[in-house]
Amino acid sequence: MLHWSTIRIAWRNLGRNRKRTALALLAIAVGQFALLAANGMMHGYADNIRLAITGPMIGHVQMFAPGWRDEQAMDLVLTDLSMKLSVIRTDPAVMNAGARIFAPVLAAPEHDAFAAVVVGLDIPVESQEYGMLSSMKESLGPKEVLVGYRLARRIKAQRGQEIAIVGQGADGSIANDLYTLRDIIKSPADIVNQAGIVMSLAEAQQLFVMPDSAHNIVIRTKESDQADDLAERLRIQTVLSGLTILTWKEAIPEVVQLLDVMDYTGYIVLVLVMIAAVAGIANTLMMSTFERMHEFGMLLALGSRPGRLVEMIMVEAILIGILGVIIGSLLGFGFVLGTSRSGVNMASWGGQGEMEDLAYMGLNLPLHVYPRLEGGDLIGGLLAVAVVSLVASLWPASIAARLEPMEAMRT
Amino acid sequence: MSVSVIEAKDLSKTYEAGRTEVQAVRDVSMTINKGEFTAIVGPSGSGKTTLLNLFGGLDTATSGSLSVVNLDISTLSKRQRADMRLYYLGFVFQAYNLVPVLTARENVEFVLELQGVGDERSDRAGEVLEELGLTEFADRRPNELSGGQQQRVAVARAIASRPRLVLADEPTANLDGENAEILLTMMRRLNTEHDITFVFSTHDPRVVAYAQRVITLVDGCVDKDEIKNAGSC
Repeated sequence: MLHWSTIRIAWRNLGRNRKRTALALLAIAVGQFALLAANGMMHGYADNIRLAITGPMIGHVQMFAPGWRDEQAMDLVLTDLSMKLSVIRTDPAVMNAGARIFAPVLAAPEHDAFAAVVVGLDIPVESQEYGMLSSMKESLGPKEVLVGYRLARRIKAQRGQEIAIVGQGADGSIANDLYTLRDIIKSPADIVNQAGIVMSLAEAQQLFVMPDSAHNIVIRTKESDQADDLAERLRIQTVLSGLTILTWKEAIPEVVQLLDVMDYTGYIVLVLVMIAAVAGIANTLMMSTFERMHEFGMLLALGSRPGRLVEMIMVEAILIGILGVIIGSLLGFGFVLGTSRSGVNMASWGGQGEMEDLAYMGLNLPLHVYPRLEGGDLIGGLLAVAVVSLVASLWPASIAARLEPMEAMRT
Repeated sequence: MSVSVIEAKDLSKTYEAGRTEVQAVRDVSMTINKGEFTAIVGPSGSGKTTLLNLFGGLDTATSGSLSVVNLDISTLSKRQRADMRLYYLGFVFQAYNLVPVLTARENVEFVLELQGVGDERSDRAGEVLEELGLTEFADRRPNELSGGQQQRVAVARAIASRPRLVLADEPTANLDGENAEILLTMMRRLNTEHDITFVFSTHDPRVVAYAQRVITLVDGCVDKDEIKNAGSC
């Protein structure tokens, strides 16, 4: 049983050499702060990736004709689109579902032609939060298109300008028409920014001879964890039979792995925290133990059992650990809380003012991160430091346990 | 009939100092009875502290037999010796040796807690501190007390556990004359009022004057063993 006097002695011993205790506390606090800050940033960045994936580009579940994903052939289309969409939209887990057309074209704003991709979108669906046009407030009129800002810069396109588009229809015919550039946009989807000419789905269906057809349907669920169950339900729908239906995890396993790696990064930081904590506590306890040899000898002479000295040293270690974790946690929470609303602009860290986003596999990953913490982050740090405190105290405790009273009192 | 507290027969202790052997205690035989107030005197290096350490089970004899409070020290394990010290002996050291982070009261209570004394711990500590005139200093830490006060706290700690024997190693060595006399008077009073046996080492002639019995050691051997009149102080 732990004695109250042991805790009292251990606690007061922390004040005997305040500088040394402060240094040990600092080591642990900095470690815990680093753990929470790094995990907060990591979670925030993982959120960005998940939103970028499940939002504008992939959705939670997507479907397409077999082979379309690899070949991107114009004629690999989803037919009876209205019927398919109405079946999908009746599922209670579906927040929204939008069909898309992707078609490689040549675009000519003036004399020169440039390679581009026409993206036909369900504008009302894609204008919603996490859609490809989530920042768009207005609708598109007939024969109006939007152009991604990087493509616009490359081809020197300007608002109101006419753009001739030439491509291939789904039936093999030549598809061409003249459109007016309504606006230059910045989309969460990198493909739109780099090469996209966005038009309404109906306009694209007409241009590429795809009546009631599209290349894929992107579905967003109300909750992100509903994707697997929804995909299972859709796969057994007769009207959707024969289609390839993938959840976002199945569609881009590489990114899922990346998210896993980011989780492991938290563990790496945790290990660093543990090393810092071990070093800090062990150093403090060793010095403190050697300084108090005489005192330990006296306690043994009075009749203390060696176990009591071990208990004293271990409690001291745990107290240092707990105090350090509390200080580090307060700092870490402060950092995360202070930046959770305004976010942290990671782009500015590299001194590249213009680089606001990072494109990865066609996804536009914002570098403005909103840190957040999960319950496990704090518990992980607490457990780690508790274990580490005990481990760090083993050496000095074993020295104390082997002391002979007279030898110790002679020191 | 006298009840013996310490019985030593042909007790010797040899230390190895590098390649040479030092015989700190040689063939010491003595009996110390309950209630005695005994001084062990002798020049530095005469073996006083070694003998006290042997009596306290802090050190083991090289040869001979030693019984303390009817326990044969040579048969006791390390843990049993610790228990003997805890339950039957009290110690007063030359350098006070109080726990620096505990107050006077907490230092006294600490030994009682080690003994497993429960709720009455605080009252007993208070009584002992009062008996030694330390009530007003009870909540001070050692660094806030004078040397004399610290040594009185050490005595309070030693007797609070109601030991059968108190061993004091040069208890007045760091005290001035006045504080040494105060301490010895108190120890003597505790000896007579509570019938606690005191054995203390000293080479201070003023301290010797308080002893009932004076055992003189020279080169580890008992040179003289004098019984003085009771209450000679």
